Amino acid sequence: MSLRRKIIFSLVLIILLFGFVAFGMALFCFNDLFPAEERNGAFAVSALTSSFWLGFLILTTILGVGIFLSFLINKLFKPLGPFEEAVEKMSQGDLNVRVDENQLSNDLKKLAQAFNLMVTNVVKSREAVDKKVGLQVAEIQEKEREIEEQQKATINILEDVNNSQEELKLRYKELDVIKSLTQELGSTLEEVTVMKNIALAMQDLFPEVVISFVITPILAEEKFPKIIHVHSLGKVGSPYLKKVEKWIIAGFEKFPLYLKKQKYWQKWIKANFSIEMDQHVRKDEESKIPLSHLNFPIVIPNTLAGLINFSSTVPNFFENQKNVDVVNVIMENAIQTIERLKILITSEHSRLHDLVESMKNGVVMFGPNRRMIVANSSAKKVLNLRGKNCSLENILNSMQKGKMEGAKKINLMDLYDIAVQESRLQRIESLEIDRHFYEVVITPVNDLQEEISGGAIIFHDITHLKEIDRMKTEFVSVASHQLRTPLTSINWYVEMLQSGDAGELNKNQKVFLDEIYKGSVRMVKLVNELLNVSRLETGRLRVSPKPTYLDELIEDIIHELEAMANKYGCELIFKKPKKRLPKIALDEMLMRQVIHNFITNAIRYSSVGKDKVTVSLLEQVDEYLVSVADQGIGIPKEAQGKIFQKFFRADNARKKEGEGSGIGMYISKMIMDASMGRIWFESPNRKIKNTKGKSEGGGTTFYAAIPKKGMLAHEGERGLAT
Amino acid sequence: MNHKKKILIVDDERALAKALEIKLNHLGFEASIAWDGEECLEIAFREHPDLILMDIVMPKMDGITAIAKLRENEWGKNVPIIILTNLSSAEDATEAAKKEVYDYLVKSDWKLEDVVEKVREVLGE
Repeated sequence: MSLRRKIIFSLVLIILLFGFVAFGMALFCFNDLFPAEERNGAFAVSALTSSFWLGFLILTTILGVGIFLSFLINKLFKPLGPFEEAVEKMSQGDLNVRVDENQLSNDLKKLAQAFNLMVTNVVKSREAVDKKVGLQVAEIQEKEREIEEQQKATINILEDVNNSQEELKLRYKELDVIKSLTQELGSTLEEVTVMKNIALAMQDLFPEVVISFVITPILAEEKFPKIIHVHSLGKVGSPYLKKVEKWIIAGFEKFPLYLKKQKYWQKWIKANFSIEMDQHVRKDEESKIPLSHLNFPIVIPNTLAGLINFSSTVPNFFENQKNVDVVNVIMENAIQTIERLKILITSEHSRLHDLVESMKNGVVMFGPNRRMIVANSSAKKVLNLRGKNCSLENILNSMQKGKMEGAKKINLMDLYDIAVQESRLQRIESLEIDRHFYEVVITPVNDLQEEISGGAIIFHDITHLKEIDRMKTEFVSVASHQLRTPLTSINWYVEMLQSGDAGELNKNQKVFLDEIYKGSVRMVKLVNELLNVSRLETGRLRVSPKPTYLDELIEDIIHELEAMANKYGCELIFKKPKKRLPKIALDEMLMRQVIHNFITNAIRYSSVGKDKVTVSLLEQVDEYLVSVADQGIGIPKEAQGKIFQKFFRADNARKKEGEGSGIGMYISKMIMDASMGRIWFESPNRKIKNTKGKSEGGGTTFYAAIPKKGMLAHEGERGLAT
Repeated sequence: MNHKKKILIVDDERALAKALEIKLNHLGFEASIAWDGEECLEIAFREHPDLILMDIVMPKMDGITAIAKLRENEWGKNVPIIILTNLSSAEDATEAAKKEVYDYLVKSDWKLEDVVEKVREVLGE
């Protein structure tokens, strides 16, 4: 309901209400004015009629007013009518409405204008928006179309890709096969292994195909077997193999390249094939016969090195160009790799050969398959090798026949295996072959990637060294023997003179003879020491430890040296552990030498007077410690580093006792070193007062430590000279 | 009176052999000298000495061989032998010989009187 109507309706209602209220009041007034008592019938009727006519009058007035008002209102609202209509139409979507301003009063004209303007603007902006939207939509649609086209293109590409994926897969597989084949070929160029690797690689690609190969005696110089090697992942029976053999023979006949003039070729060609099946092939006589095959000759420059036959029970398998192509690709790659490797190896070989040949020592090298790679002429002389190919076994056998130093008999094949497999150098100190002595070294040979690629045996001729050694030992022996004889003569004759066997002697004669005797004894000692030194130095000192009571040994030595101690005015004290020590593995003679040396030094270099020389025996954690302490002249700092040197004597020692040879300590050290003990000393160079109250060098203590497990035995050739 | 004990000195070194002979004779023994192994066998088998003092390094036949040959003999099996040599105590050959002799003395290390002591010891005097 329009606003106008609403107002009118409300007004009418209000007026009606007023009217009724007024009527009511009139009635009430009447009642009031004319109370009931005064009311009688006629009055009542006329009063009622009057009131009725009053009421009617009021009503009419009201109606009249009402009608008047509604007209008024209508008129008021009439100008707004067009606005209402326009708005109504607009709300329904029609924007073409305009308010006709001409029908309106001046006041409303402006409003109408404004309204119209507004509507026009609205319309304009709507149009503008519409346009924009239209453009956008057009753009979007255009873009959509583009995308659609691209999608179509992409789908096309994907389809293409899909199509060639199968192709790619196959290529990748080929490459994989080639790669692994190349690796395999790199590790060995032994013909059968090479072919086997090729066969296995091909089987990856063609699992249903049976691969058979033959190797011609291209590299052989001697008898070479004529074998067809058969590889298959499935079952193969004799009917199958017969067919394959026929094909292979036909394959050979096609290639005149195999016709070489050597006798063994001719012989080989004429021989029959024998068939060797790979271990995985299962024999089944019921298996079908092959229906399709492909022969691939292996031609390494100008010679037919072999032939591979691919056969399949699938008919026309090898008429399919795809399959043939794959085979060709792989095979050609393999052949090229082999050729390249062979060239590389040949050049490496000749370099190696030259290098090895230039070496003075005998060198024999073996590959990972134990086949001999190279042997220089020096080695050939050593082993008396004839012929080009000598197996590792042959060589080791002839070596085994030679004389090896050391009691243990070594199995050379085991030694070789240890060297190569555990990558540890093995040494044979002395091997005598044909009256020559060799130091033999077996060493693993690693290639660039630190992988074991074989082993080498190196012969170092030490015959001259051995000879020198022998001569030296002989010289020393002879010399010492020769020196001793005249010394004995001097000793004995002086002795006889001294005991009056040639008559009474006067005092001077006795004294002089004494000096002669002393000098001679000294020389004897020196000769003995030199002989020992010689033995120690050549490392041939025999150390034979036997269970010995160390404390008994020490006591024995002390007892022996008591006379000497008395002469020098020393007191020998032995401090031994309370608990009796068990027997220790000692070489008594050697140990005696060391302790004897310690004590005699201690006595000699003690100061004059009642000085103590204390010999102690201690048990420590891992070793037994023998120490000899004196209170004597000590060892000056500058001399301390040289005490164990051959012939060295410190100045203060020389001054005190002119007679020492300077070898005692050297020998002691060598003995302790040779038997895995330790030797050292302490000389603090503190000036201490000895029992006579004189200040001297602070004394020295020498220590010798013997490991509890005893002296290490050494299988020398000589013991010490006494 | 007990007859003198016969001692055979085998050594190619004149001076040393002589010294031993003089000393032993002086002390009441009957000492004689053989100059090499060959002569030693000849004299020993003939004279049957009570003790042989054997040197090792000698021409014609050395001490070791002589000892071996002596030991093959019925009488020689039992005759006491002392090796008197200037070879030091550990030469290989003498190791074997050491088993067959009473003792092994290195001359340069032994006083004459100590050698005599040893002789007396062997002969039980």
